[in-house]
Amino acid sequence: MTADHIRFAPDILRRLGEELNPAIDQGMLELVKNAYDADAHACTIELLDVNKPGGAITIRDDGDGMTRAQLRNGWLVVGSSQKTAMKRTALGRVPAGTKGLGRLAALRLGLLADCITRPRSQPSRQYSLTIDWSKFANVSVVEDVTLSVVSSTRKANANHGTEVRLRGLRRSISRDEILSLARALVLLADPFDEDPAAFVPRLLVPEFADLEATVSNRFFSEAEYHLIATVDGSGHSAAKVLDHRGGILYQTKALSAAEYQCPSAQFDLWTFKRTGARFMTRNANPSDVKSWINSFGGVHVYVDGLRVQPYGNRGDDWLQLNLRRVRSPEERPSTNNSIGRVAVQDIRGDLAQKTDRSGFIETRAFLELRRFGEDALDWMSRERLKTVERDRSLQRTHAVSQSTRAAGQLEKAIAAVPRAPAELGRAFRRLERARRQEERRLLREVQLYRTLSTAGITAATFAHETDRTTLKVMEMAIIAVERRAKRYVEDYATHLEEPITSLRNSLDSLARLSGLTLRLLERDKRDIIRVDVHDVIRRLSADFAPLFERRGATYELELFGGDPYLRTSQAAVESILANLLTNSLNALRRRRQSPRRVLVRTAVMMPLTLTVTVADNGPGIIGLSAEEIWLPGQSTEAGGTGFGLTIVRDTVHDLGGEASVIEHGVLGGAEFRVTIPVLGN
Amino acid sequence: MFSAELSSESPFLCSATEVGVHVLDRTITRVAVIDDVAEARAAMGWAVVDAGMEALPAEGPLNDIGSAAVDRLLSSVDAVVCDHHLAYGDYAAFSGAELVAFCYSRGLPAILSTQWEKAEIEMIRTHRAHIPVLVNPSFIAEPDHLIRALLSCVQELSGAYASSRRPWRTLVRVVDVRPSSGVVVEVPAWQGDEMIYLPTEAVPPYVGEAEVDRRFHARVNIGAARSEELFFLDWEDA
Repeated sequence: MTADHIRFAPDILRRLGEELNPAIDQGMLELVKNAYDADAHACTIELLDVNKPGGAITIRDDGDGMTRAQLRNGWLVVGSSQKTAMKRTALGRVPAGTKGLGRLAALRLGLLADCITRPRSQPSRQYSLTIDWSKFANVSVVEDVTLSVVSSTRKANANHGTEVRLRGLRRSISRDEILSLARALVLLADPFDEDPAAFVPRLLVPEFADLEATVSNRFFSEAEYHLIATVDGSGHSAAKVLDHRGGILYQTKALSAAEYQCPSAQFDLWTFKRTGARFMTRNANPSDVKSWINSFGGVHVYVDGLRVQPYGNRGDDWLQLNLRRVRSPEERPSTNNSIGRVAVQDIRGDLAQKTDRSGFIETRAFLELRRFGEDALDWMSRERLKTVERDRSLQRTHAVSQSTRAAGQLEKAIAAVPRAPAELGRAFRRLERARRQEERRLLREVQLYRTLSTAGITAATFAHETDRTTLKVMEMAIIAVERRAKRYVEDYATHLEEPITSLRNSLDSLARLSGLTLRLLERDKRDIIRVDVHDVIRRLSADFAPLFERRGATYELELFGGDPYLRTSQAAVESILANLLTNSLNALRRRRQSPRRVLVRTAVMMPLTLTVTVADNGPGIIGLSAEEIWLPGQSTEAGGTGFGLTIVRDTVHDLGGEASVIEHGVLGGAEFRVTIPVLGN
Repeated sequence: MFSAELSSESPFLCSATEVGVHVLDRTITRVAVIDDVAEARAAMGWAVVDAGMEALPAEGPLNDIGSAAVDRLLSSVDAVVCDHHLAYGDYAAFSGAELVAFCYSRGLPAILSTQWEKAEIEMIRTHRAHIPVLVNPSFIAEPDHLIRALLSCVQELSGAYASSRRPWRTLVRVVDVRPSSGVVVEVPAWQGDEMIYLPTEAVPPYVGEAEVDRRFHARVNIGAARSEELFFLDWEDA
């Protein structure tokens, strides 16, 4: 009998390393987490000449360092961790680094990886090691490459800590990857808490200083509302909402009758008042707040003090803030006007991250944590709505009498002024007339919104009786007429074929059109799922095809290669495109000569954003400015509702994107451009 | 083994003895046409007549599926063509899917017609295993298609499943949960790459409450070309 072992071919290094953790920031974050676990206060990542292959990255920390045994049995072992969640560090931190696969990926970024470590427990010693990855190409198993840990005397002024250097980078690192890494580092160790002993990772590139300043600016005091919800280790919850002065607006002793089966956690959400693109602030500069929210908005998750991606990343909406807002926009936060954090104390290790660090495995504990967050948001919204309805009701009651009283008082005041010029009275009356006209306009707008909603509800409810059954009967009848006419009528081809064919084609068109409204209203389209944007565009384009045909317009679709996707509802994406297409078709009515053209084009940029362009060769934007076109009730069409583009703008904002228009674009008419962050392509 | 003999005379003039089609070992003479709208019953009746059979438009109200009216109707015909939406007014207290499944249990060939809106497919899926043919009404408005549809029904009732209808025991994995609404599953052995949404009512409680990644076995017609045709029977823990 011989002693044999399972051995690994060098290819396993690539599979476990860069294939499993392809995103450069994930690997780097694992090295930073090693520093956190070593009780480091400071950790710097320095990038040198990374804009081309061959550059270098150095990670330095002032943590506990490693002894030879720790280097050999921990740092060099992939797939097992000496750390356990139950055993805290000397500073009380719950160790974050686990199996070392992310570290492996980071170490393999370069052709060479050096580790120099100075253990706190051995003040005179220093250990160093170099891994030359090229040596693994010449062996048949990983174990055939010998690594030498060199022990030497530490210099007198050299403090404890570890330095990892990656030399000869295999590829360049793009600016977007650096920005992504910078953002992740800033958020890594809970920047929401003001702990002087906190772990502070830093990235030494100019962009990082800007981002760090952005977080440290801390505009929390500008928030309109601050939600604080807690769940303890027994699953009992409580919540309160504070106003900007810290006063309690609402509170509850339990968010749910059923206990939450998740670790104890606190959910903080700061919601800011926003009107269109502008933040309403008290002291701070609105554009600073906007920039801060753009960088860090969303709800982040921290487990035992360290952030877990991708929760709170741009494009991530794990608590469905934006969907809930689409369903009931009043008094609902969204990811582009809120910033929050769920801080979890996971003593039992109930939350497990996926090996590729793309989030938590969706165990019951995670699903319950999410339910806790969603329930807190729903509760806050219900309380806010009650307040708003109450205020609105009171306002309606008093509005008329207040207005009349004020007008009367002003008239008296004018009359009491000695030798008041007649012009003053006339000016006041003009103002009154203008105000009443504006009021009537607003009432008509509200009524229009209600009417449109009622029309949609009625169409959906009575679809069976109206177009569905009628069309069905007409279709079957014309099939029977055609069949019997061919059998029993002489000269069918001469006398009947053309009108019957025309009737069949029209019915076919009508059948396709009649389903469009109902298809837009399908319930499951409002569920939050992974939405493949190109799929939605293709399906909606097929639905609109008969409309384009009827209007004598050509429809050109140019989809960027790839499948951009994000986590949202199909309804949200459809509502953007459907309204833009409808807008184009309306505009083309004013174009006399053919061809009438509409172009839909997509493009994906880095960092992952999708741009959808809808352009036509109609008259362009005339009579309204590029800003006014988005306002509710603004329309250049006689009989237009003026809400379609408002819906586009609001939906795009809810997805964290931007909408813009060029009055005369690529085809000569209006060109609308929508840019939204996506999760992948 | 299929034969169809359509009368060469105008169907309006045929006598009862000259009406009917032979489908495998059956002769289908009378076909019940069930729809809550009278005009729709009449329109479907034209296709039945032009196919050489007698149409019996079912006047309502039909009340419950086990009622004497329904029993009398089904006992007096050789086949059924039925719309899915029957319960909007007071025509019937059941859906077309339920009635066709009931006919299946009685060995009576029955075709379900519907216009394929997504919400309908989800409701129909509960009974899909007992609905051999589900088509658009304009499709079976052509007599040839109607007869072929009846053939498919008769074949399945005699045990000769079409490949798209034969159920096989296979793995089903839960990929998403929509609380209080249903689950989304994937069937790895099925050729399509769509995930299938199953409302809570369509699955056993332990499936409706399952967590993501939970696996089950079920009998599924994995030969179906489209996800709308899939049905799930006999769920078991994997």
